[in-house]
Formats: sequence, C-alpha cells, structure tokens
Amino acid sequence: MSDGGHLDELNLARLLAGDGGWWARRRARHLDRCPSCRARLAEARAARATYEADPARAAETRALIRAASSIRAPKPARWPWLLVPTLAAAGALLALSPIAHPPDAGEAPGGLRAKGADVFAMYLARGDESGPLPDRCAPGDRLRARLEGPGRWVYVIGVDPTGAVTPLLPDDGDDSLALGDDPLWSPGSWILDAAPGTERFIAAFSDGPLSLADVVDAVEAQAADPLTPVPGLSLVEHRCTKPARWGDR
Amino acid sequence: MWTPEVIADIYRQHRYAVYRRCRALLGEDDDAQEMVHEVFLQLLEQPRRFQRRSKISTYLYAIATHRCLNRLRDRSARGARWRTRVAEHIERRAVDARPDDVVAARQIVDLVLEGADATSGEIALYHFVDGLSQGDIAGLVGLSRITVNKRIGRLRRHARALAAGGTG
Repeated sequence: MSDGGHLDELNLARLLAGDGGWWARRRARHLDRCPSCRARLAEARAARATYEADPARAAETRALIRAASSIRAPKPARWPWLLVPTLAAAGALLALSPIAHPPDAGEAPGGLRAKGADVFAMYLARGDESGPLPDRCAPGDRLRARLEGPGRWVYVIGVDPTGAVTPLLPDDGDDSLALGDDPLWSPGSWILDAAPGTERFIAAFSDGPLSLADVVDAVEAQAADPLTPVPGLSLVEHRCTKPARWGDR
Repeated sequence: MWTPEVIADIYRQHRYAVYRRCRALLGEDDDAQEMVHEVFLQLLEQPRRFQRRSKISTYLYAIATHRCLNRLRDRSARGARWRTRVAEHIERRAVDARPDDVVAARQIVDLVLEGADATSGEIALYHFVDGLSQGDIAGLVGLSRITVNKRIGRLRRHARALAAGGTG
C-alpha cells in the first residue's frame, strides 16, 4: 500500500490476479470506504475482461502448454536452492547445529501462549548453559523452539535486524507443519550471527496450512493494523537483541 | 509442482496483470504482449528462481518490471523517441510530489534508464512512479528494507544533483 492507503500498482496487480487471504481482506476494507480505488479496480477489471475475450488468449495458452511440455520438469529441490540464498541474504541464522540435550520443557517456562493451547517457547544454549530465551543474546548463541497446539498448523519465521525474513520451521519452502498431541521441537538449533540488532522470531498458528508468503502477509497486516486481529491466526513473537559490541550488554 | 497444467493455470490467472504492467511501461500493445510471453517463458524455464517468499503475482510483477526496464534501456540507447515516451508516462504517474521533495520526472527517467544501476533503477520506478512501500520494494528486488531506504536516499540526492545541473 502507498502511504496514503490507496491501492498502488502492485496491490492492483495482486487484486487482478485474485490473491486472497488476509491481504485481500485488508484491501477489501480499504475498498469499502474508498470510491476512487473502487472505481480504479472496476476499470481495471473491465479492461481485463476485454483482454481475456480476445481469441488470441486461447491460442497463446495452447502454445504455452506445448512449450511447458517440451521442457523437462525439474526435480524438487530443497536446501541447495532455498536455504543458501536465504542465508546469504539474511546472514543471521544457521540451522545446522543440533543441541545435544534439549532443555526440558518442564524446567523452562519460556513459552508464550497464544489463544487456546498454542504455545511457542524458545530456548537459548550458550556453552553448557541453557534456559528460556532472554532479552539479550550474543553471536554464537544456539536457539531452539518448542511448539504446542494440538490440531493446529504452525510456521516459524525469523526477521533479522535489517527486516529480512528467513523461514525457520519449516526451512525448505514447504507449507506450515501440522501439530499433533505432542510438543514439536525444532529439529536443530539456530545459531546467531554477529550482526547487531534485534532478532524477531514469530510463530504463526493457524487452523490450516499456510505458505511462507501467507505468513509474511499476515505479519505485515498485523504490524500495519495491530488492533485488528487476523482472523483464524495467532501470531506469537519472541525477540532478543544482540548489542553492537558484546561487551555493551 | 510445475506441470504444464499448473503453468497454464498460472498463465490464465496472471497474464492480464503482467500485460497491464508491461503495457504501462512499454507503451505498445504488441510489445506488451510479446513481453508477457517472455515473462512466462522465464517462469517456465527457471521455475526454481521463484522461491515462494512472495506470492507468485508479486514475483511476476518483479520479472515484468525488470525485463521491461531492460528493453527500455536498449531503446533509450537507440534514440530519444522511447525516452520521451517513457518520460511522458512517468510524468503522468509520478506520485512523489511533495513540494519540498519533488523529483522531476525527467530526472527519474535519467535514473531509471541511464544514471543508476539496474536494481536502483527498478527501486526508482517502484518508489517514485508506482508509489510502493519500502517493504514491498524490498520484497520485489530482494534487498532489505534498510538497503532500499538507503538507495532511495541516494537516488533523491542524485536526482537533485541532476536537477541542479539543469540536465534532463
């Protein structure tokens, strides 16, 4: 959205393409009260109808399907193409090192509870010590998450001090994970890098699976309008700050 | 995931939004439609470049913008006609019109087509013409918000310098 709240070009493109979810509901609230944006959208939709009615579109679609059929489908890729660029861009976290002895949930009450039974707890290990995530952290600290919410779905993302988003759980670009009756622990630990600033860890609990883009949309919607809950979703957040110099803590 | 049927569905759903973007930037129906094909062929040939960090509509918007600006740069190098056409388009659409911080459309054209690297040119277009938020721009160009903010500041200074020098 532009600063004035009106539909910008990207918003318009997304509405024309039929993007849904919370993002669309938020746009719909603006459209309800903005005649000029409604008129702009209606004009664009009318132009789309004319464009789609052109017989050339059907021929183009057939040509595209032929072209697609002639290109060998790539095998599904996981870490190599998703995680490496992600880390290169964000530079904040590494999900590589297992914690040999995860903190006992019974010892560490560091979980934040969202609505119902949704629980997002984060733990920090430094050397041989471990415990709930404190407000201050340091490069090299190892973090793990425990999630609870029977019957719910969950996605955990990290937002580094520059605002870059990293999918943490799942970390391979898949949709969110289904939670069972038992707590879900992150399979490895995330190691903090040296970049100073506040790291945010956000768990999105929902009644159905979400994509990473859905979660990012929801987090942005919540940030833009904190007083309006995103329907069907609970966001739970932890933060920790790395000082500019570790001696500054 | 990327079966021919899936690609065709994406094409049907998104082609008009891509066409609209290309038409706005290139100014000609035929050029815009040709560019729509190029955008979807890129998706077809390099599907892994779509990393699902954004909606596919946003990803296609970014590809379309990138490819159109490349084409405009080529045209700009060949003559002033396209440059004038783009300048007229940007003058109509420029949204950054705060009296104390006006960036003249002709200077924006200089930034988009010549005076900036490709990514900064795209940032200039997204910010000064499309009026996108810095968060959206960050997602489109794959940089952090802080970096986008710095680049916009640099572009403003550059545009002011161009304006003060009487070029454009």
